Amino acid sequence: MMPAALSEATPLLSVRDLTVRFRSGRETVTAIDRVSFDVPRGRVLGLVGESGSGKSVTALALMRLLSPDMAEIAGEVRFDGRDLVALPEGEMRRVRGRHLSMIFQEPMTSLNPIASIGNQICEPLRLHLGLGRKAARDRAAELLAMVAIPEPRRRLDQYPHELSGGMRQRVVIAMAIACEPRLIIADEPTTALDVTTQAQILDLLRDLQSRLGMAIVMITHDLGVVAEFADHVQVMYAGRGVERAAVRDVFGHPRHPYTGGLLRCIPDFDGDQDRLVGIDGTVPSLTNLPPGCAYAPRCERAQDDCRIVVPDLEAVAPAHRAACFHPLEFAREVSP
Amino acid sequence: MRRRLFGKRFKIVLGAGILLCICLAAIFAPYLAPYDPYQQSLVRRLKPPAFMDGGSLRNLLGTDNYGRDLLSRLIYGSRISILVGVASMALSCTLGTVAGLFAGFKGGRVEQVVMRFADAHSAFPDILLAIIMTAALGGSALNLILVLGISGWMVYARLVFGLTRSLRERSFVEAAASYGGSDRYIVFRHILPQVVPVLTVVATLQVAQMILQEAALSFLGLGLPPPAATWGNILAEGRDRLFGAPWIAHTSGLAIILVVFSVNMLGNGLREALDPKAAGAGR
Repeated sequence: MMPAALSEATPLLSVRDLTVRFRSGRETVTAIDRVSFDVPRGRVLGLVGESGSGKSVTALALMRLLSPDMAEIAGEVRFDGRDLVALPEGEMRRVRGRHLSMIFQEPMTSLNPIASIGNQICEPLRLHLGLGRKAARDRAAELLAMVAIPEPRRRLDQYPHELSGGMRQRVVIAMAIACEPRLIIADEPTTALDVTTQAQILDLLRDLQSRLGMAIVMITHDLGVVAEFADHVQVMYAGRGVERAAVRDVFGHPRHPYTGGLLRCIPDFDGDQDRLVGIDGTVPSLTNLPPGCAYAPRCERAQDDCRIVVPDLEAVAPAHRAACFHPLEFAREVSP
Repeated sequence: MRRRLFGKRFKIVLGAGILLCICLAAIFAPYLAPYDPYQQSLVRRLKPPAFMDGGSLRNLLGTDNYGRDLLSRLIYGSRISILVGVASMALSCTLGTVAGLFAGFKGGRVEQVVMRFADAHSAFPDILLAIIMTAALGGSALNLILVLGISGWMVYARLVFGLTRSLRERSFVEAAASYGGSDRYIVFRHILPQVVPVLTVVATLQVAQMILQEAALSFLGLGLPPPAATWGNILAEGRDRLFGAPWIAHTSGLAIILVVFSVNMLGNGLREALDPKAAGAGR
């Protein structure tokens, strides 16, 4: 891994004011509103939020997989010196899968049911590295061995339905790392798996990440995954970034009331708590956001200014940003 | 569990077997046919088939109004029926599949234009189109193929469009885009292979439709002009003599039924074999 100073200086991925608007009929819905974050080389950023907070849209926008007919992307996504938002489609295609790849949530559906495992892993290899049939097959077997699939040679000729969910997710990971990309976007890679498999997949990802020196954007709603896996965290709410800091700062002393609320929702098994705590209210509809802070209607600290002006994501401490006019006190300790 | 009387393997073997015999007959018609199908003989007019009273082994299936040997005419007629049936199916299948893939994958305005055009074309009567085209171009095997091929594309377009639309939203298609596949790559590598099994079944069944349509057009005088030996023509000639010489209409009618039956058998067998829900049991 690179020295911290250098990796901080030139982040691999630098997202500035990324905004995604969806057109539906005459209306436009802002799914992501001026989201900014950096991912240093070889590090892991956890992107956390509830359903509908814009995590997956962020991932698809970074990959430029949103149909331009429906979505309008603004802002800057600087990846390894190039602005992906402005890149022509043909060049973007050479980046996808080669330097930047994605792991999808559902291993059941993200593999083609009628193509063999081997052929599917060979696809990115043949597309990007121009490997021949034989060379691609050998490399595919190597990749399967890397993701710890037993008997890789035999698996090459099997079809997705012959594998378990965990195995399929390993195949998906093998496809994602096939060309040794610099960044992997993992969109809830463990959500569809059972708990023991989740742990194995996370271990595998961590192992591959340190071996190949990849950076990962880990999108999840599971704070446990973030605590274990990420270096930095960006918390999202209703399409906006509300808090961003190193993982220990976010978990140790969250400053945004929403993050604090999320952490309080984690059941505390050895404490004296006998009821699960939730956050009252629901995520506002993106078509009908309140004028000020989107969290204000549910926030116990909200005051008049919160309901009028949208707070910016500003530094509340060194390397700790929160979008809140009345952040939580620093002293507050919430253990995950 | 008790096996069904007609399993998919039985259907495929029976259908393909009969079709193969008919195809061989069509290919080797000059060697198989006992007579020239256009050879007229006034003394041997309207002879009944060998198995009826007054029939002889000289003309196994009897003769028609001009004394032409019916068996020979049927054998030669199978050439036209099969050629037109298969070629027009291939034409409409290609047109429809391309249109459906394009409309389904692109969506938006392309979809609107292509699918509304298919709707409009479906509302237009086939027979009328056939009359217009034969009147303009004249009756020939090629024109028949064009007429039938062009009037059948909407079935495929709708089918492929629907499948493509749903496949496009599947996450393995998104995944293919995420590792750098181009639109064309995704369509040909990931969408088309999934459409093909369904397409095969529909296309097979469509051959039977096309053969029937060809017979119907010939029957109406819109196919190949009369002396030509086609099943539809023979059937049309037999209609005038349905009481005096019923074998003319019966034999040609039975030939059509036999082909359509075997094609349908094959198509249904294939559907059972290729249906993912039924798969696994017999593979």
